[in-house]
Amino acid sequence: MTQPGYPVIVNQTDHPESSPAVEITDLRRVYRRRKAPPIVALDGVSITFERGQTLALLGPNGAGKSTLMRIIATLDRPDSGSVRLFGEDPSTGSRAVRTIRSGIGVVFQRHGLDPLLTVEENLINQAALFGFTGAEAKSRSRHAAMDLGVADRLASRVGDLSGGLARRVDLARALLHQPRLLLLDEPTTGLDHSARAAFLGALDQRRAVSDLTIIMSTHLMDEAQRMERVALMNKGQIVSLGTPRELRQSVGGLLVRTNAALAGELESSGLSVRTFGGEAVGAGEADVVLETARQLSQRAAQRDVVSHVHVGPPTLGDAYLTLTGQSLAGEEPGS
Amino acid sequence: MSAAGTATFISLTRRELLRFRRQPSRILASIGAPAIMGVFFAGGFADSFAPPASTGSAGQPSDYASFVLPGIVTLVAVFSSIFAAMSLIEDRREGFLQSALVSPAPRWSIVGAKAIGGSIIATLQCAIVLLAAPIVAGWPGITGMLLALLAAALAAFAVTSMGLALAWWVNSSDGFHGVMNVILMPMWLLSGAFFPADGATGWMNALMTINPLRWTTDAIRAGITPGAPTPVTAWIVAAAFALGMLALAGAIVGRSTMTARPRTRSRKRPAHD
Repeated sequence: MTQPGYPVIVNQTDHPESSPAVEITDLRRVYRRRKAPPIVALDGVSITFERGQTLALLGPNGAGKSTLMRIIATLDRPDSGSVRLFGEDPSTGSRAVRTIRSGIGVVFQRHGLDPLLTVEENLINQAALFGFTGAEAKSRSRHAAMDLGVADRLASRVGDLSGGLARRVDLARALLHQPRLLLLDEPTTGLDHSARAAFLGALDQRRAVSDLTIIMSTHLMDEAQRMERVALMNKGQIVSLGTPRELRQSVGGLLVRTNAALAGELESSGLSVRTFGGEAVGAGEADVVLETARQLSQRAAQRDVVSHVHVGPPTLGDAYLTLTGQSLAGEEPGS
Repeated sequence: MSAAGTATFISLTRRELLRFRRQPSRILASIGAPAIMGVFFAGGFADSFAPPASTGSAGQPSDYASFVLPGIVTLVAVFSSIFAAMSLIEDRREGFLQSALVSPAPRWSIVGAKAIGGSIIATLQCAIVLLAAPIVAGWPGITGMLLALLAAALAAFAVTSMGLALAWWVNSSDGFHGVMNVILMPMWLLSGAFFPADGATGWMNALMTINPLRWTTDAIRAGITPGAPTPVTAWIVAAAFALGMLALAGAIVGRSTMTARPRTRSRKRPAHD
């Protein structure tokens, strides 16, 4: 067998190429528990994005990112609302589900590899899950390994690989069948800085040579900023959606950070102020921010109550804090 | 049953065999413990065991060692099947299962590979123990040996399928061990492995009669005992046991979703199948 035996997403008259990659409408998912209040994981999530786009779901733990990813990956069903992937609705039956699954690759928080098997055996198994066998499976495995820079480790057992290398093999696994949609659910969890950089670099390389549609859930700003669009999620809702630049600019052109005790002074300068973690953050017009910072710096030089003054552009974390009153670490103001 | 599904099934079955080959401790645990128990029991009860009146006559085990050997084969099948089912929990913990479930491969190919792979491994281990049969009980003929192996395979398949059905629901290895100890160990103790059903008290005899492992053990015993008649009832029950457990596993896997998360979030809705 040299061709995939499972249905694949192709040009179909009822699902034209023009249909968006993902259409999610008013999705709601509640986890009911026996002796505890229900958890509203998703509360009316709606989002549409086109083929070839990349999207980050940014939010702290418990924001609903993983639940949304599981529903998109067809591993869970919503209580209400609808999902369409490349025009296919998974609720219409098992054939639609299989068609969707043929076109998606998923990297979960824990890699989906068998530690007792070699890299090549793992990749061949993955090929078999998508209906590829024999020479076709072997060829795809080798190509995927080459693309992700792990071809020299094909004979190594996954259990002997470093966490970073195993992650790249996992990405190779998810891309082996050439999906049109790649789902990355906090893919760098547990990786150290260099391994994370290597993983993200490998992902960037793949993006550069394909029109892959990507959805990545993360609570890390620098990962989210790599995507074309970012959806900020909080308590099961998308509270804002835009490009990283748009979201950052929604906070203001510049921010000044200083002691929380000086929040009143920032406000009296005409800035909008939030306090968080012992720090006051003032946002407003760039010239007002700069002038306020200059005055605070002078006082800092005179050893007044000012311990620090930082001026800089807002981050996605600032945007998140402004919109939700929470940090990306999930902390409430004042904590 | 599509060609692609079959290809997936074959590949994942091969994975089960590879995993087994690379875990020497699993081989040791599956064969070693029952073998040691068999030797100790056979030696310890050799003189104190009072066989039923018919034992020792044509077609009956001649001594306790030949009586207990089929029970040890059953125990090997049970132990090995528990390990096979536990590997499903490992697959979930390691993330392999989630990756498989999000592929277009049909679920029967994923779980079927577990059941068949685990059963092949268990049967191979039973075959090793059965090699002792000609020494302990005399040569039953190749047909008898093959029938004993087939009965062991049916027991292994049934118990593996039952274990997979349970492992689909239980999240931890500890929990799974607990459940299996409560269900499988009594089943094995009442399988006629150590004492014949005929000599048991009334209520125990009744329990042994409804215990399917008793019938698979009887079928193994008949296979390795020279001159024993074919126990038709035992074969029918053994086959029904295997098919019934396969149906149970299929029903549970087909109607539910498996999650890598702890069960604090209960009442999960079924995933798309």
